[in-house]
Parts: sequence; structure tokens; C-alpha cells
Amino acid sequence: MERKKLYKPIRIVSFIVLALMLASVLFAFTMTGLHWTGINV
Amino acid sequence: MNNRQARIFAWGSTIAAAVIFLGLTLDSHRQFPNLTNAENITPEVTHGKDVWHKYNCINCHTLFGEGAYYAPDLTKITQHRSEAYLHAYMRDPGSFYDEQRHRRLMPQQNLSEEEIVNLVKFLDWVANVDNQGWPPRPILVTGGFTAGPGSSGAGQPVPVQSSSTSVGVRPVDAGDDIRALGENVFRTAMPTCVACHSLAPGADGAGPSLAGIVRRTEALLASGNYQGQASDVEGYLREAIVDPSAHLNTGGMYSANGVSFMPDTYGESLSEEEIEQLVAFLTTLK
Amino acid sequence: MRYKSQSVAYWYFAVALVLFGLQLVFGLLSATKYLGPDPLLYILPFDVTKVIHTNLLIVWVLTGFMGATYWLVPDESRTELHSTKLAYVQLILWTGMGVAAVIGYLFRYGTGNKLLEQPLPHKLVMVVCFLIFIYNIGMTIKKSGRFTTTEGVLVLGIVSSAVLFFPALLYYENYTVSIFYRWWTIHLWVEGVWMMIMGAFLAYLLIRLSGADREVMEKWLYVIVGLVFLAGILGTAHHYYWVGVPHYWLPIGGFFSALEPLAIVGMAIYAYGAMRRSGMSHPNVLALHWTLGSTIFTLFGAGLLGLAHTWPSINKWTHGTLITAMHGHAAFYGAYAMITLAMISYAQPSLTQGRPEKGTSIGYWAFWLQLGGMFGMTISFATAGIGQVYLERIMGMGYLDAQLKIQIHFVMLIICGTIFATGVALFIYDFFRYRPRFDVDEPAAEGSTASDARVS
Repeated sequence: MERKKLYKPIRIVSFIVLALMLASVLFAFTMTGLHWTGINV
Repeated sequence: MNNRQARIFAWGSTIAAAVIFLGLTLDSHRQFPNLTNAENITPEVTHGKDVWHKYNCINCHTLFGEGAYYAPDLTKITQHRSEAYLHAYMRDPGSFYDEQRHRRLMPQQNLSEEEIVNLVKFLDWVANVDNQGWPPRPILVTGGFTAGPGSSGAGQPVPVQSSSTSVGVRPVDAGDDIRALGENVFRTAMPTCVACHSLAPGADGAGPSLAGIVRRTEALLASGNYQGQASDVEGYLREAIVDPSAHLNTGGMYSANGVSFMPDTYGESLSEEEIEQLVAFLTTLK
Repeated sequence: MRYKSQSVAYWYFAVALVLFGLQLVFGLLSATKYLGPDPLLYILPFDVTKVIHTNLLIVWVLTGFMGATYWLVPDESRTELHSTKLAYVQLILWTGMGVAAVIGYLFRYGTGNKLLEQPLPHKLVMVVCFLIFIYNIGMTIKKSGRFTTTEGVLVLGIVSSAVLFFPALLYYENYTVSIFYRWWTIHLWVEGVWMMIMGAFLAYLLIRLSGADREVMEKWLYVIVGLVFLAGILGTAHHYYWVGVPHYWLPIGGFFSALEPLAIVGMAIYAYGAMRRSGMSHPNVLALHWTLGSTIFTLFGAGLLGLAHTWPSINKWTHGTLITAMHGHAAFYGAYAMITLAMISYAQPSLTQGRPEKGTSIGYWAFWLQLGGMFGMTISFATAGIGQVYLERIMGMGYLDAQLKIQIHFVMLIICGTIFATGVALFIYDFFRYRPRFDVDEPAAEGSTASDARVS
């Protein structure tokens, strides 16, 4: 089995996931900013 | 302790715990039909349960306190809201709550009428399961007990009764003022008045706030828009308790198709005396 | 890596870490929804993000367990795996099942039964995977004829996980009965057999990392397993509060779940004792961090925070609030995420080419950022939960009104969640930085090393 060839694809997948994580963090902070005045105690 | 003793301990405690656990499981099965009113699990209730699962309700709401924590607990919801209300709510949650004001909203689920009816039947079955008296005080969707005058009396201990509306309920006896007795009815009647009505001005829940009810009623009776039979404030309040649909209050949130969402069961569940007391209390809300 | 077939673990770890990253994406999305009107209301509503968040957790942790087992068993039994082909088939089936489940949830294809939302076909695939796994591990051990206590505990844990999955396959007419058996799977996994698996990994790591005496370590492993089951089996009762079961489950749940921290304290003392006695001389200091960190965080999250709301007279106020989320996040992370990351950290220098044995500095950043982030998240849930309990349950304020008052804690949750996500991202980046190796880097020693010499 040529498993070595699989390293590259899964590494790319890992970068996609890292990008998604970054996107969700940015989204969360954007929403925090947008809703900032609506957050009260 | 040597290795052998440690092994005996591991196996011994595991087997002992498992045997006790299985024994209790058997005994629980003996008691399930009774505790859960299994005879009431009709095909409609079962279908309602499947609807509950199909629409993934448990990943926002809780039932018996189990689920996700993004939406209200629904264990006793049928004791807080009438069937008519729940049906109308399920047809369009967006008309009952405002995403800007409540900061979150239940998405429209597009259930069929049959699914809605059976889901509410399932929730009613859940509400009647003997679940060890939980919650100790009603868990409300909106409003609350604290939003209003006349919480518990000064220096008097508040008895905590399980599964009753006990927060801020002043203990009363028959010799008390009729209005005090009426407030007690207001806070203890089932379904709970306070689950929908607050006493704070402007704090509308699933029902309108009752603050200023007397002034509003007087204005209504004088306006000529009134559709019911009553001629004075007391009569209007009595009619509103016993026959909620006699005159429909403003707003699509409170009624549909000429029927109020307020439970129409108080005429039977409350005694004549209690209704009188309740009216007396409500007439104090100038 | 002493045995060529151990390299299958690399792919299991790779899949586990990718899914771990995805889990955080959905966690962050869920947290954001607490802040205000949600632009994703009809694209990814809360129920969808939440179900994916919890399901990915289960799938990635189990993937990690499987990978770690495929790494550990050749080492312990001193033989190649029975079949690497089966191991790959299992991984493909398993990953396919997980991905299909997540995609299904996006389209609301699920059973809506909390934590067991997987549709029946998916559950059957899971059963097939379990069976392949048990067969493969069993044949490996049988072939070698060498069966250590650590392995025994691990295999028993895996077999019991499969057996306890059985109630999840059945349909129950009565909602209360369905809750009753749902916890057989979920609770007895999490607080029973997974603890056993965790204990086995811990023993393995401690024996290797600290060079502690195998006979002593395995003796205490037995004691821990005994404590886990003594408290864990009857501790299931704490999930039977308020769901319509007989009243006697309340005191039983209170008493036995109060005992549950004993096993966890035992584990922490066990790890600490091993390190003290034998020193921290192993070059893989990063794996040591994760191993000790796991026992300490488990003590905090599962032990202390679990104990905080397990007594019935407290739980009746905190049940079904964010207090549960507080405990859940810290407990799962400490016990299962961290032990899996410990196994990965231990194995990865020899699974990859050119990685320094003591760990990279990115690896340490990943450790501390995750730890700090998760601690902060736990505190955020705790403050929000305490507020919720007092306002909603005790003062009687309506749910929606009380939620408005605790919103600010979700800002803190998102900040801490971001710190945590940064730590996880670094771990993932670090893992994939070095290419895998498929050759043996040290000769298969036949009972030669000191730590391996004594077998019970």
C-alpha cells in the first residue's frame, strides 16, 4: 500500500480544518462586536 | 495488598456493583408503568415522541432537565401554557417571540397539524410523569415571580413545597383579608397564573401584564369596544378568568381564531370562593 | 517504533485530530449563538451545531482510542499486528460513518436521542468497526501469547464498550425507559469502561515514561479499576435524577457518585507517585506534561466539578443548567481528550521523521494554551451557570430573561474558547509538520529493556 502518498492529502485537509477554525473564531468575534451594545446585565 | 488481592478487589467490587445495579433495574421496570402512567402512552403520544426526536428538539431544549441548554425546559410546559397556545406557537414561533428583544429565536419547524397535536400530547404525558417532584419551583419561559409587588411577607418564612408555585407565597389562613387570599390563589392556582402574567408594568409574557388592569378595564368598558357580558370591573375580571374567550384582548400573540390561549379550565378547577378572592386581588392592581 | 504495523496509529491520530479541529468549529458557532440574533438561524441552527459538536467529540475520541490501542498492543505483546489491512478497513469504515453522520445532521438526518443521534445504519457500521477492532486486537494478542495486565484492562474496556453499545440499538416506546438505557451506553462508557481504557493508557505511559516498576503499577491499576466500577456502575444513578424512575435512585446516586472522585484521586496519586519514585527521566517531556496534566485536569473537571453538583439536594436546582456544561467540558477534556493527546505525543516522535524526542516548542505552546483556554471556558460556564441557577431556578425569573442577564459570560467563553482553539490548532499544525515514517527505528527488543522486563 502506498500510504506515503496519503500524507499530502491529509495534510491539506488539516489546513482546511485550521482555516475553518480561524473562520469560526473570526465569525465569533465579529458577532461579539455586532452584538456588543445588545449585551447587558 | 499484593497483586492477587488487588485483582480480587477489582473483580469483586465490579461484580457486586453490577449485581446490585441489575437488581435495581429489574425493580425499576416493575415500577415504570406506575411512575410514568404507561397506560397513557397512546399511539398519538408515541408519535409525538417520534416528532420530538425527528426535529432534534433535545439539542436546544431540555426535557426532565436533559438536553441542551439553549432553550427553555419543557418538562412541565403543558401546565404553564394551554394547548391552544402551544399549537399556535408551534405553527409560527416567530410571532410569539422577537429575536431582537429576546436575542434568540426558535426557527420555524414547519410541522404538520397532526405532528403539532401529537407533540403537545407527548409533552402533556411528560408533564404528568412522577419525576421525584422536579423542578422544585416552576421553571418559567419568560417573566417571573420577582417582577412584581408583594413577594413574601416581612419576616415570615416561605415554605418550599415541591411542585407548587411557592416562590414568594405568603402563608395564609381563612381569616386573612380576601385580597391576601386572592393573591395566594393567583400564585398557587394550576395552571400557574404567573407563568404567563406578570404584575410589572409593561412586562408582558405569554399573557399581558396585569399591572394597571383596573384602569385598562375601565377604559375598555367605557370605550364601547367590549364584546362580553360584564358591566363592571369585577364582572369583567370574573368573566376573563372563567371564560377567557368572551372578550379577546389585543394582539395576535394572545389568541387565534377567536379563541384565547388562556386555559379555560379555571371555572372548574377553582371554587366559587377562590374565584371571588382572585377577583378581589386583581381589583387591587390599579 | 519497534514494530512496523504500529504505523497504522499515525492515520488514526491524523483523522482524530482533524475531527477534533472540526469539533471546535461547531463549538465556537454554538457559543456565538448565545450572544444575540443569529444570521445562521436557518442555515446552521443551534440544534445542528450542537449535535455535530458532541458527536464529533465521541467520534474523534474513539478514533484516538483505537489508534492508541493499535500503537500500544504491539508494544505490550511484542509482535506485529494481526492484520494492518483490517485496521485500515476499520479506519475507512469508521471515518466514513463519522463523516456521513455529520453531513446527515446538516440535513437533519438523525434520531434526536441525545448523544446517540446516529441513525441505525450508522450505528450498525459502528458495531462492525468495534467487531473488526476486537478481532484484530484479540488475534494479535493470541498470536503473541503475551498478555499483560495493562493490555487486559484495555481489551476488557474495549469489549465492554462494544457490549454497552447494544442498548443504544433498541427502540423504546416509553421515553423514561429510553432515558434509562441511554445512560447504560453513555454513562457506563464515560464513567466506566472509558475510564478503564484511560487507566490502561495511563499505566502504559507511566511505565514507559517514568520507568516505574510494572508489577507495582499494574497492581494499582487493578485497584483503580475496582474503584471505577464500584462507584461508576451505581453512580449511573446520578443520571436517573428527575426522569421518572423510582425514588431510591436519588440516595444511591448521591452516595456512589460522591465516591467516584476516589478513583480519580487514586489515578492522580498513582501518576504523581510514579513520577516521584522513578523521576521524570524520560526524554519525551511533552508526553509527560500531557500524562500528568490529564490526571490533574480529570481530578478538577470530573472529580471536583462533578462532585459540586451531584448531590440530589443540590442537583435539583442545578439540573439542566449551564452548570452541567461546565462539568461536561472540563471532564471530557481532562479525562479523554488529554489522555488521547498524551498517547499521540508519546507515539509521534517515532511515528514521524525528524521530530525531536522531547517535543517541539510549538507542542508546549499547544499544551499550555489548551490548558489555559479550557480552564477559562470552564470558569465561564461556571459563572454563567451559577447566575442561571440563582436567577432562574431560585428567584424564579423566566428562562429567556435570565439568559439575557448571563450573556456577558459568553463573551468570556468565546475569548477563552479562542485561546483553547489556538492551542488545538498548534497541536494539529505540529502533528502534521513532520511526515510519517513506516520503518522500524529501534530493534524489537525481546524483553531487553528494564521497564519491560517484568511481566505479570
